[in-house]
Amino acid sequence: MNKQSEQESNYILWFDQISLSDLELVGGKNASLGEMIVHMAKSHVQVPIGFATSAQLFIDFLAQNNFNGKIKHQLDEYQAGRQSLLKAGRAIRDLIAGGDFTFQQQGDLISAYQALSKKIAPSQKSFHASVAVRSSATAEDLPEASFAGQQESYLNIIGIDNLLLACKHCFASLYTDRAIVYREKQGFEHDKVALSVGIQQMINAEAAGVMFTLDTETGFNKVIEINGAWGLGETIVKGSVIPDKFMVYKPLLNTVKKTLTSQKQQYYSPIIEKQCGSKLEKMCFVTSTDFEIKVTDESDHLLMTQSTETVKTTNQERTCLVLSDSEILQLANWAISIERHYGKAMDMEWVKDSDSGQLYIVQARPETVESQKNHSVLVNFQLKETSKMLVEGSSVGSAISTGKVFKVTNPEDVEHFPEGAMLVTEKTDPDWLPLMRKASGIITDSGGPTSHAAIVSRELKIAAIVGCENATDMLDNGRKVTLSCAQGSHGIVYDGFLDFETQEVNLSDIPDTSTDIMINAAIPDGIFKWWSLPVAGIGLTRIEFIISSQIGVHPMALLHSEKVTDSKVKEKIAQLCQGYEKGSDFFVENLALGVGKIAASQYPKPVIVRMSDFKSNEYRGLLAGEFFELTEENPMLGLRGASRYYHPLYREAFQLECQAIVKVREQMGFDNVIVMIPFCRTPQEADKVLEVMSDAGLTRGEEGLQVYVMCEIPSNVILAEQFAQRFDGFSIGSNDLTQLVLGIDRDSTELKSLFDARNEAVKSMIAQVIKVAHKCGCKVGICGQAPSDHPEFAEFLVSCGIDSISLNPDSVAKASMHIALAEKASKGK
Amino acid sequence: MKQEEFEQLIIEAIQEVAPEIELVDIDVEEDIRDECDLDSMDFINFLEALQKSTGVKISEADYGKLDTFCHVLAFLEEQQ
Repeated sequence: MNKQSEQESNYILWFDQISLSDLELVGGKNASLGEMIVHMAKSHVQVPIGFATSAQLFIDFLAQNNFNGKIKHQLDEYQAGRQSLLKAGRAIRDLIAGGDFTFQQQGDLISAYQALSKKIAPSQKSFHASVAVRSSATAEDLPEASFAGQQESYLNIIGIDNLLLACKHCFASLYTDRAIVYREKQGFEHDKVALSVGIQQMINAEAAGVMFTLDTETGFNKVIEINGAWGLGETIVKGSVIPDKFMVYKPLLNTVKKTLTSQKQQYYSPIIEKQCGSKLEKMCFVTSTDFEIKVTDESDHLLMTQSTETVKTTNQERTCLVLSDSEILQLANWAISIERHYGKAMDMEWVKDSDSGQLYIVQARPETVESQKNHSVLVNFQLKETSKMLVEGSSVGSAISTGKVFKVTNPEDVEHFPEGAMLVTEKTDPDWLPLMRKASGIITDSGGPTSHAAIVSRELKIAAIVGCENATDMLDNGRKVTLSCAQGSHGIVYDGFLDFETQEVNLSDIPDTSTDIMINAAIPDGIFKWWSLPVAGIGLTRIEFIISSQIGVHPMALLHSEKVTDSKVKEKIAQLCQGYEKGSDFFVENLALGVGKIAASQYPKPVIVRMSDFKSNEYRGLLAGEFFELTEENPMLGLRGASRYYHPLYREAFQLECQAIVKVREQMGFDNVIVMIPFCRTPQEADKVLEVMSDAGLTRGEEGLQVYVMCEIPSNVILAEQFAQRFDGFSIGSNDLTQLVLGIDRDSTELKSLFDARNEAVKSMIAQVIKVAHKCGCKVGICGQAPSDHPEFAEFLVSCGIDSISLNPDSVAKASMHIALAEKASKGK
Repeated sequence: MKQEEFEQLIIEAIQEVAPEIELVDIDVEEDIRDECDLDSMDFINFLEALQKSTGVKISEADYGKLDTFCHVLAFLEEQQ
């Protein structure tokens, strides 16, 4: 054979010979691949094999073609302003792409490519492997410099001629306009930067995506986030598709199930999110082998249209998830191994091979955005000037924001909503979540502090003012306004863009309290934003909000589709349940994911999950609700809470809720979930509910299951001792308790001033239940904003010896101060 | 240099990588890689030998023109 292949060339470095210490030789991307192949093999992380060209090849290539002087000349011309960046960059790139390798260099590349092909398909003679050819910039003085994303990659390159051409184009891409400007801004000398080319086995991707060892929105570092779409991963990187999204909770991965009865070791499956993206298109290989790469005159890119093509996905592909549960867990395991090896948060690309069905990691690099943010600081807002007040209502959160009014009055408006606009509407719709994310603030005519708009805004940390009554009349489209929630519960919309300042509260300054401070959660979306708050868990999770935001259908309709007589509704339900064996699976699975995500945000601290507490009119509002619900005159005092759970109209649906909790606790592993029963009128009712739960696999006391009861009806207080024998704890719902003790409709505007949890009668009830519960060994908590709004109420609760206070997350800082002071005062007495 | 001399040098260069090949074995109008059973590596070595013996500079841009024995010959005559 030939001479060169027998001696080790200093131009070629196989991935399994390089590690992070070779950064100068092969650049960050290639060094990282080598590091993974060498060190992750023992963790069974599969990485496609390949080799890199050394920086020396690039340096010699420029020298032997006498390019250095010419490149410098072009750059000088550009820097002196005699030549445009566009022209100078193009001239340099054309120059480099047109250069020649020496015979030895070609020989080295060819023999390496042949050896790679042989390794990939040992039995096939003269096989030409498909490879990905990627640039990896190196800077000898600046090994830590990141040049990510500035240079080209070429996919599905087959054959030596194409490979050589692709290599030269990689070389040329060191001088893309973007890279030239970047180096100038950063003060790097152009001639000190070289380029290494990575030539890697190309996996023909059935599906591909990216993966992070933290939540990229909040920096919550106990989860693995995985995105995926069909075909090659470029569609996700470009953002041309909405991918599927998965999340796995790290601490419970590889944890052996606690059940002692089973002999075989079983692991938890802590997947807490599975969101199906639209995935409208995919990029795949062109199946014909008869293609060649061409260089276009108009652009500097190699024309890859012949090696890859973008096609529309089928309907089946759009509605299916790209990964199975076991694949999600396998990737998550790899991500953990990789993160552990590098000792920092990582950002990875994965691929699933369409031939073998195997998974591979094709890239890994440190995550640099969220992992470096300071998560120990909360922000407070204050207006610095004022102007004409336009409308007012109830504030949600404590932020100030400015934006131009955009009114949404009919569904068509939703699609045209501009990023950063102020959403003004009569009321919001659960379908508007993507739109609400884009809004700088939300202003509604109707709704109160517990309306959908308010809850979602709180979760998304968007400033909102609800219940303004006439906002849609008073505010014209395009008007500049400032929304302020900084003045307590009174929210005001001002004319114009006002100046405001923000003040940061360090979380470490939040005082320790002996009373547990917990938070209220509503929808799973956005719950991770609060991970850094120093709280004792979640005091209230409302299942009905998960049902309305993640499921949307009346659960009985999923069990008894024969009763749904409207064909349009039937069709909608069928669409939602696509991919599930049974309608009830759709419900249990999605409810479990929602609860699991909330439980993960605080694990192992307790997370209290209240079973659904819709009133019958609210259940009616769900899809197909009219086929299963009665019309009640006074739903507030009707078929709600515990009474519903053993009633023939809902019992089966309640058992689905129970099954979801069983799944969360026993399959996902979140045994920190405590179940809570709302609106339980009598102890006999409690017995019936506990029996129904037990039938569905949720038995109080088994597998450590605790069951709490809401204390919100006077009977709960009067018969507290009997309730305490049936439950592990009480949670006071101050709104319902006030309503029922004082006999005031909590929504009545006329009686608003009388409606106050600080009323003597209500306080006496609270004091009594705490006393009795403690005597019986039960814990007592309270959910509501009163302790945060009224320091004296906090002081009262503390003096009664309340165990926990659960608040909306945005008021934790303020309430903690009140409670700490109250504790000091009560100790002093 | 005369045509016969170039022919001789080409065949000698081929024989460097594929010693069993004689001029009579191949169709000079057909793809030289197929005719002489040269893989990419052999082809590069053949061109390197040819450049050395003829002194004619062969750059990568010219590879496309060097697909048959006849075309190699024509290229050399043109470039000398």
